[in-house]
Amino acid sequence: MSFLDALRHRFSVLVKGNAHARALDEETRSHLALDAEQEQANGLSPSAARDMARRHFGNVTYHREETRRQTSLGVVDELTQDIRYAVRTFRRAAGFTIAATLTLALGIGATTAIFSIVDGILVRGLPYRDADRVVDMWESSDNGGYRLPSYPTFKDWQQESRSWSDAFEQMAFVKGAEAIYVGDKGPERLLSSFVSPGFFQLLGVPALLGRTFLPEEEQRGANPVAVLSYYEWQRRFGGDPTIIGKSVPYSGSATRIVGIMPRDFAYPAWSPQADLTTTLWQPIALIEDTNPSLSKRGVHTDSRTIARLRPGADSTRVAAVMRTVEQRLAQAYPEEQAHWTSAVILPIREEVLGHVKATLLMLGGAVLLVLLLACANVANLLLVRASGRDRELGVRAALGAGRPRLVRQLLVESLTLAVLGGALGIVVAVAIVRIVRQTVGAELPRANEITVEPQALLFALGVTVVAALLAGLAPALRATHAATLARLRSGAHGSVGRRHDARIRAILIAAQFALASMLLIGSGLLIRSFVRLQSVDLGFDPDNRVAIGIFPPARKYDDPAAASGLYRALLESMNAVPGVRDVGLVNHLPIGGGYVPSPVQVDGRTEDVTREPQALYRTASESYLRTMGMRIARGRWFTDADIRDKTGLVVNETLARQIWPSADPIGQRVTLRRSSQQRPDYGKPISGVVIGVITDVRQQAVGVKPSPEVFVPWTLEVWPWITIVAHVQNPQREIPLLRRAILAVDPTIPVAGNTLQGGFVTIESTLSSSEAQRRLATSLVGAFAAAALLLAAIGMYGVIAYGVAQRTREMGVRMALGASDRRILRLILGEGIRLAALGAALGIAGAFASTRLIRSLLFETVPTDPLTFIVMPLVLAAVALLATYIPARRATRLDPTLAIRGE
Amino acid sequence: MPRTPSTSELLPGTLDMLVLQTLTLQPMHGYAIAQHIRRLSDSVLKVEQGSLYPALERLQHRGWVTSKWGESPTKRRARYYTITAAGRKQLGQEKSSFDRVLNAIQRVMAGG
Repeated sequence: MSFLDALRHRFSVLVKGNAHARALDEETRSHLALDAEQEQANGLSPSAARDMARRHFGNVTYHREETRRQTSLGVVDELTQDIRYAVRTFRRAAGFTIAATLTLALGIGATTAIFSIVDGILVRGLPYRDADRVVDMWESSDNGGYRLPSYPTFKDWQQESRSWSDAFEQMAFVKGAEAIYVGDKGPERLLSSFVSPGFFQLLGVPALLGRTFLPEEEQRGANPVAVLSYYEWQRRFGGDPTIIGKSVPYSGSATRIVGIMPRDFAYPAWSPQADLTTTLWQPIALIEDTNPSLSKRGVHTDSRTIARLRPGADSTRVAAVMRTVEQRLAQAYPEEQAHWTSAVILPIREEVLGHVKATLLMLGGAVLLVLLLACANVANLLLVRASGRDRELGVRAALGAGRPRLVRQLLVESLTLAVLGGALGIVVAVAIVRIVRQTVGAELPRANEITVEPQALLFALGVTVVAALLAGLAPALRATHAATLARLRSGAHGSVGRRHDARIRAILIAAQFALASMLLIGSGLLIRSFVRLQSVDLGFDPDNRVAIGIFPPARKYDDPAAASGLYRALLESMNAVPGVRDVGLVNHLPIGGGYVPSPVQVDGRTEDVTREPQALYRTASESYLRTMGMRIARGRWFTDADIRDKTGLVVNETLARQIWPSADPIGQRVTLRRSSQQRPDYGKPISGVVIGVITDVRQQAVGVKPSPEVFVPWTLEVWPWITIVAHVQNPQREIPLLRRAILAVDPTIPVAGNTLQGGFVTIESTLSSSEAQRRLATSLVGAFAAAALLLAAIGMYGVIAYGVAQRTREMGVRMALGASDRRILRLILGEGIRLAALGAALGIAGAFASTRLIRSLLFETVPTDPLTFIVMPLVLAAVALLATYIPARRATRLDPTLAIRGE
Repeated sequence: MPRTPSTSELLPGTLDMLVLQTLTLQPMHGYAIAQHIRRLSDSVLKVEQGSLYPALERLQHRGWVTSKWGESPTKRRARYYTITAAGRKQLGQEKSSFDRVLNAIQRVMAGG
């Protein structure tokens, strides 16, 4: 059975590899002994016979290798040999190995971490089928304004779009609403989305578990059903799959759960904050008759209109179609639609990711620089090492190792290195991701769910291999270059091709310093922006202030008088809580609390209506200014009498400057428009006299310049929901008490949330959320820059130290000829400084060309900020000097006689 | 001056055949195989150890011979190789193709 024999043989080689090798050795010994026996029989002495046998046999090692090569396992064998050899040489060069491994780990780890973060936020944020064809739609007006279309307008669009099937495949409407779930901490307000039929099909996402809605469930009068978000399913039901088909009391009515959406599906994210995404989806038919705002053409809030375009639909064609449709509507409904004659169509990518894209792209760019630098550094280290091994490789070549074999061995070495670095890099990546999650997890969309992904692992592996090839190939080819080998064979001493090598190393060092200085300058700009932001005058005092959005239960407080009674009772009840200094009311809190504009019409000025100034419209209580720690610039704030009599207006400095650049604003009369779209008197004029001017408050974000703003007494237009701010002594202690104080007034008010939407937050936390992205970007880029600087310094140190070691004899001669310490020091330092200066110059040029890409991420800092461009290269120079000084110093301590005698 | 070679290099590919042929007599160890070939060819064909053992390994790998450790007449441990059935078949094939080649060469040489 030859097949079995062959198999058995292979098996024994494979399984008993060592035994097999031993057998071959033993066979050799036996052969030698048999031959010696024969020679002895021929009359030689035992020792002469042994010698003769050996001479007959020839090179034992060569024969052994030749024999082993006969089995197909030869290659694997040689590979293990190469790896074993690599590990052994690494153990001998511990410093080199540690430096190279750490460098690779850093480069790979940072790249993997950023890839995971980008993947978690950017890629998984858009789990829709052909997301490029899904768009968001707004109406736009002749004077450049834009608004969300009302539900009736959407229905008209949908109707019309059927006859424009070359542009649209499908359209859907989503109405944002609240759902109440009563749990242990009291009622909790959740965000729900009522969707028109076809919503899930449009986005092309099936349910993770169960299903989306059946046609009969989307009919009016059907029983309530809901699809849950993954987050809600995990948080409230612990991921229990049997929840499908069960009824859950959302908003007081038994709602049957029919499906769970996948984790990445979070449309619409009503606010980019992680906890404000949709919790459950329900058919819009459930509220079509009960929600009055749905039937009104004048309502343009809390909704999204999305469409799926035909494949290959031309954007100008789509825009033209929408213009036609809108112009028809403007004629049909002049009261609501006049001037709104076209539509804005944006890829959904912009809505979901627009605000994080710049940051993520910058991080991607920065990490790419780090990776490049790491590769340059490792290549450099490998080069230094390879040239130190010229002789070793030469000897191996002379012993018959072929070029492919040597190249392969060097590649195996760098691959082994890369695998070590890659493994450690994954550890680094996990650490970075964990830090990011801990520092900004709650403040960045989906950041809580970021983990080091399997894809990221693959990515790291890819990067590892590329890095290894990049870093290993050049030294490998160079080391085995035929000319090099030939010169080695001729017995030349010392390093071969030293000058050529030195030039490559110098270029690599300069490149590292160039990359490092680009990162340093970028990070410097971000840090400067960050510092500037910290010193911004907010116009209010965030310390020890807590706030809650009060959303009165439907129907009971729909009437403004009832709502006003509730708000008064709440103010009173919360004021009575021990530890509370002040309690104030406002419709929209600055920073993260939203805003709504009103036109400001100045009496006695007849102007073009479309050019009237717009101001952010706030309704506030007498205590609000005090509670927030805001300041009056001129005149006075509302008194109790103003609130009672609903008289007086307060403007901010920006509005005062804009309308009355030279006159005194106090006493001027202006007309505003009622701004709550949920009230029937929406848009009706209200007029009042300016009684005071407040110091500007930052309204949208710390880094955004204040807009014109106007305050009216809260009693003048009782907002349908309200924000209550409390100035307390200790937020952690007072928040539970305040929650109880609210429930004492009405136990059905949602207080259990952890966002402003029906829960308590500290003003500090809203501030830090608004800056979370910037903080993350600044600290990550800063860390990258620091790492880059460290790597460049290590590289510089390595090269200079190696150079000094190679030139020991030259230094000795110079010293013997009378060169002073100082001169030697200057010689070596000069070399380092020249390289660093060259790198820094290149880096400055690179930064000059590229920092404008991050302009949108800077605050009150120009991308070519002179201070940053001067200071950062100086930091770099100082580090370079230090990295050069240490080995240079060592050179001056040489004993000339020893140095010359050496080698 | 004409060179008279005392030993001759083996024709490529013939070593396997020679080894298999040798093993048809009886199982032998490597040293004995080499000696046998040298003796029968009056020292014209000298098998280098550097090619013998790789060849034996190769033949085992293909399943044409098997090996077993045994004892030489002088009480030495040695590995004894045995030809397998497949080895015999292979030998037959190699012999006939070798004969063909040899005949061809002789015809050419005679014609020249």
